[in-house]
Amino acid sequence: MPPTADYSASPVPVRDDLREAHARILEHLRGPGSWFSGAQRLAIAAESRNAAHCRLCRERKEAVSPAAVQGSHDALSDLSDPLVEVAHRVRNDPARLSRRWFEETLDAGLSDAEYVEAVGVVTLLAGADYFCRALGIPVFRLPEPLAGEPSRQRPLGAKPGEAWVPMIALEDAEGPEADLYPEAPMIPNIMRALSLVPDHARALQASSNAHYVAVEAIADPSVRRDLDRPQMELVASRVSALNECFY
Amino acid sequence: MGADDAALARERAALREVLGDAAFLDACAVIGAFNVVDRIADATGIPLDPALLMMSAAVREELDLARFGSSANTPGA
Repeated sequence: MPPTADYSASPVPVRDDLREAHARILEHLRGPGSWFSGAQRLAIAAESRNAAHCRLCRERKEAVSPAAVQGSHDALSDLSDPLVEVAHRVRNDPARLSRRWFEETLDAGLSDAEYVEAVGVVTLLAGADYFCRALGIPVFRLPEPLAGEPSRQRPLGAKPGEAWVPMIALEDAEGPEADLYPEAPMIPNIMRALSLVPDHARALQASSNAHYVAVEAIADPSVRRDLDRPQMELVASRVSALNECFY
Repeated sequence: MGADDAALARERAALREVLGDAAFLDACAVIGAFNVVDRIADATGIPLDPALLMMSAAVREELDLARFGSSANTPGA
């Protein structure tokens, strides 16, 4: 039975493409990925929600620098320490992540691909949760995990570059990743950021198409929904300013 | 968005009154979308896209976005 999201408390009708996007995200999160099982991915997801109740995260948020406060996270799960760190920090304090933090996190025992997979789980769920918060409904219940082993496939086209993590360039999206990017005037780097875990990149694209605008239309200022594009950009800019996100 | 449920409820009602239900939903969806992409950008250190930089350079300077710590993680900033 595919997971479904509960909109019964919504004050307004929820359009079908958003319902499909949320169902797809929940289905995506509960299945085995490239490096983690469905159960592990859902544990990362639950751990990211738990960050709101973590004492260490709260103390770090209040500190001038998060690195100034040492300690252990209040963890829900038996995930490894670096995975708990990624789940809590990316969810709770993303604007103060740093390359040094990223490198220390990998040195603590995560591969770059495992890191990207964890980031994708945390961020895709954060988007669904913030949608719910904005709408004024409870967050979606996490589904039961699907059985199965992770594929352990690292895409051959992923290469290191300017970003912290290797990514697949448009010209390197071949073979199993040939479908990764649509024909479009511009594929922004954000759509390539998770490509070390190609199914995450696909899930991000599907989510973005429903919540924002289709990737193919990002460069088109006239594209609109019930909000016109300038109104959408105003909301997006305000969110990004609150998140202190430069990108 | 903060933790003040009563304030949020008032703002939701005000926004629906002005925009209507469908546009209010669009706003909620964009809020969701950018809570994804902001976190991904901050967690992966992706560079600014040249086209995006070109379109937004003046606004970025006017708003002094370089004051955000995350600008240090964004090559091209």
